[in-house]
Parts: sequence; C-alpha cells; structure tokens
Amino acid sequence: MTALIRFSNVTVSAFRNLSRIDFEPAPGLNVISGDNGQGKTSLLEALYFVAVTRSFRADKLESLIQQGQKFASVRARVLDGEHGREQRATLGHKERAVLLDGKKPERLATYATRTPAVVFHPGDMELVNANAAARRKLLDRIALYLDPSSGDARLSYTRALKERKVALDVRGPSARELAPFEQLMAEHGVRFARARAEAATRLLGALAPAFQRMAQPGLQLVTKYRPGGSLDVAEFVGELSSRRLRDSRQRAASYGPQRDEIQLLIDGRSARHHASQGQQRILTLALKVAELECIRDARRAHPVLLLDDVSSELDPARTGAVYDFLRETQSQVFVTTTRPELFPTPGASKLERADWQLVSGALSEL
Amino acid sequence: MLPDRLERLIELLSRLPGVGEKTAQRFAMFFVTESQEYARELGLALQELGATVKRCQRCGNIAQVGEDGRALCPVCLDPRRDGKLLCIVARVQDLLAIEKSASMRGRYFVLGRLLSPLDGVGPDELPLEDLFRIVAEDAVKEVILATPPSVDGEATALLLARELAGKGLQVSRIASGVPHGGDLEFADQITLGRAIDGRRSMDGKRS
Repeated sequence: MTALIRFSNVTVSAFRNLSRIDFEPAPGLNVISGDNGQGKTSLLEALYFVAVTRSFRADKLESLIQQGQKFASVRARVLDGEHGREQRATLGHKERAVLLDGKKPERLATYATRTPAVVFHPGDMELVNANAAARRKLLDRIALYLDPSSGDARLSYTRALKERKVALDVRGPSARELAPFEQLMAEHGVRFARARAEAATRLLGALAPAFQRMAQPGLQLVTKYRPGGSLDVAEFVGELSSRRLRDSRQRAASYGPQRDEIQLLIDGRSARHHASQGQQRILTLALKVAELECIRDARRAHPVLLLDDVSSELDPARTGAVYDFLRETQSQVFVTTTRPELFPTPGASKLERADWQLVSGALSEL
Repeated sequence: MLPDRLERLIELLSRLPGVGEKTAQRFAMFFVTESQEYARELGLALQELGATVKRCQRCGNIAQVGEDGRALCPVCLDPRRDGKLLCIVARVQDLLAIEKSASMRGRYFVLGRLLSPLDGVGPDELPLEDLFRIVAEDAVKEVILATPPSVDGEATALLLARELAGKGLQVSRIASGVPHGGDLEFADQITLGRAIDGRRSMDGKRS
C-alpha cells in the first residue's frame, strides 16, 4: 500500500520575504498565482524545507532567513495515510533544528525522509545540460530513501576525501596519515556508493518509460551509470594508494564516487552537448518523474509535488504532458504560476483544488 | 557606555564555552550589582587554579598538584589500577565518561587532539612520543583505542594501531552499537547497521 501524504496546515514565519503565512492547503491541487517577486517560489521552498530540511535553490541555507530576523521557521501538520504528525523546521544563522511531534529526532535523516517531497523548478535543467554534480545529487536524494545511513556515509566519505587531499598537498604521497584516511574513504565510500548504485538502477529503470511517454516518438534514449569507484573495500584502498602520486599532481582524487557519472544519450549523442532545448526539457521532466516514482516506491508514499513555474519552461505540447501527469498523480500538488487559467482540473471537486493568490508575501484564497 | 574594565570582563566571560555576549553581560552585572563578595571568591579560586590544578603529567587527565610539586591524577596514583591495560581517549571529558561507567580497570592516555590534516594536525602533532614512553615504562600489554566514532577519531585509531603494531601489544577498538535498555525497533538504522557490522561471536563463554 502506498500512503497518501498531505500537508493539512502550514505556518511559515520569517522565511525569505514571507513574514507570516498560515494556511490550510487542499488535499489535491493547490494553484498559487501572483506576479513575479511576490514570494511564490519562497512558499514552495518553505514547504520543501519543512519536509526535507533543505532548499532547492539556495546553496547557503542562511539566505532563507528574512532580513533582520534571527530565525526562519516552518511548521506543518502532515497527514500520512491514517496517521497525522506535526513537523517543525527552524533555521538560525548558525544552526538548523527540527522537531517531530515536538521531539527532537535522533538523526536529521530520520526527519528528512519522513515526508517525501519532489520539486520541479526551472533550475532542474542542469540535470541534463550541466556537469555530473547535479545528477549525483539526484541519485543521493533517492539513495537517502533506500538507505538512510547513506547520507552520513557520504558526509564521512567527503570528510576523509578532504583530509587525504590536504595530507597529500602538505606532506606528499609518502605521508603516513594517508593510509588511515584512505581506509576510511574506502569504507564509507563503498557504503554510500552501494546506495547510489541501487538508486541509479532504479532511476534509469524508471526514466526509460517516462521519457518514452513524453518525448516525440522515435527518439532513442540510452543511459549508462558509470561508477567512479569500487564496491569492494580492499580494491578501493588499493586504487587509492596506487594513485597517490597522480592525485597529488592533479590535486584531486581520481578514484571514488565523487566521479560517478550518469550518461544520457539521445539518438547516440550526448544530451548535454547535442540535444535540442526542447529535448533537454523533456529529458529533465522525465528525470523528475522518474525521481518521483523511485522515491514513491522506496518510501511507499506519494511524495508531495512542488512545481515552480513549470509551464514557462515547456512548449505547449509538452505542457500537455505535464497536465496529463498531474491529472493522474495521487500526490498532493503545489504549483506556482503567473497564469492560473493554464491549470484546468476537469472533474476535480472543490475539495480537491484550491486557488491561492500571493501578493507581497501575503496569501489569500481565491 | 560601560567602564572599560567591565567591558573587558564581559569580553573574557563571553569566551567561555556556551556563553554568549548577553549571558556574559548578565554575569558581569551580577558581580558588580549583586555580590562583590562572590566576585572576590571566584577571582581567588581562578587565581589559585593554575598553581593547584594541572594536567596529569603522565596521562593528561586533570590532576591536583601534590606537595612534591608533581601533578598526577587519581587514576595514575591508584595502585590498584592495572598498568598493563591502557585506554587511549581524545579528551578529558571522554576519560571522565568512561570512568563513570566503572568498566575500565586500567589507566588512560589523553591525546588532546585528533588526527586531522584539515585542522593542521598531522602525526607529528600527536603526542606519540609520550605515548610510546608510557607503553615502555609501564610495560603495557593491551591498548584500547577509545577515540570517537567520527572520521578523525577513526583515522586516529587506525594510525595509532599502525604505530603500535610490532610492539607486541594487543590492540582493540571500542565497539559502537545499540543503546542499552532500548528496543531494536526504535534504534536508528545507522546505529543498528554499525551494531550488525560490529557483532561478536557468542561461543557460550563470556569474555
């Protein structure tokens, strides 16, 4: 059974330009309209933040805090199948704190995987038209649901990787502190590479049919996951220690999951370099649908879906594909748009849909 | 606005761990307005501290300076402690926590820092010479590596294990796992995963 996840009440405080918003979203489709710069994306960002404690557009979380304020906070009442819970995420200039039903969870990962959320936003194009870092992040989001410890393993791996790099830079390839950090890189790296490989298998498995549904008939998509390291600790350690000289010269580790890559080929050519804008957009959309399906199946719950200004990114035919998808999805959906008339929901009762207007950070129901 | 001396005191107080500027100001005001007597007592206690309490010259624990001027901690002075068993920890706080558990019958060695090239701590910055001296002087037979289960803590343990190899010692690493008194059902998956990885065989004999 796949549970339905619904935000039933949300309070946003001092979050970007949103001083205070308190609202009860509809369980189905929520259309949030308003001119540019009114805070529509910030509202989606607030929902994403309370769900997964991250932002989909800010590298520095601190920028989420309203100017002149000490804390940004979002509280949400969440219905999860038969159960309800309260989640609260607060961000200060130095720390981030979360509460699950008023209690501090033992780990952030416990909190961050409880209410799955998937966001589609204009910046997602980098999944196709930029380097592999964005695709690795996508895999890591899925991996966290497959193995909640993969996030910690990734942080530990990254720490050990940096320690090894500094040791190589400062003391050279024969430094005796290299071996301990290489051992730890291998142990943590294998642990999170395993979760990533599983995420890649699932993502690419879901991507093919999603792309076929949405793209022009006849386009051929070929995908390949190329791991940058090994799933065997001993082999991993061996590779690292034999590459010290080279890594020291290049000032970067040439082996390990920081070099994992997903290759996307359309009609035999790299989608990043050779696909048309339209093809890249469809592929991006198909990747997001695949992400949604992977997280749904791993978490056995329909993730909350956040669509930021998605229609502006697509041509009319592809926008149709998005609407078809929205009609069928069982997820609770929040869309932002400058043109609410684009979102007809045939057959939906009043209960299932709500229209909101956002003007200078104030939300009202239409 | 405040007298310079008071500003200076606030600045000093705010360097204490866990104390921010506001709390520091409250403390300073308390000394001035509520209890000058307490302020004098505290000042005296702080002044005498350096002469009477030092790091233990053998293990790095907190120690009272004896009449002979030597600083040795209660653990190092205790003749019932097994000098053949040595537990290596990162900080004095870790030593105190293990002492509370009353499960350690040997002595300690406090490193004071962990291996971290990022923070400028390489093997040469660790007190390895002191450690080897104690291992030799006390004819240590067994070493327990009780550094924290972080990347730097694990790396330090791995380095020490290598450095101590070949000295005829038994070296072990503390286990990490499920807290006592809890249901496995509620243990987080990371801790549970570690507990499974670090399982031990049960052959009917208690070790």
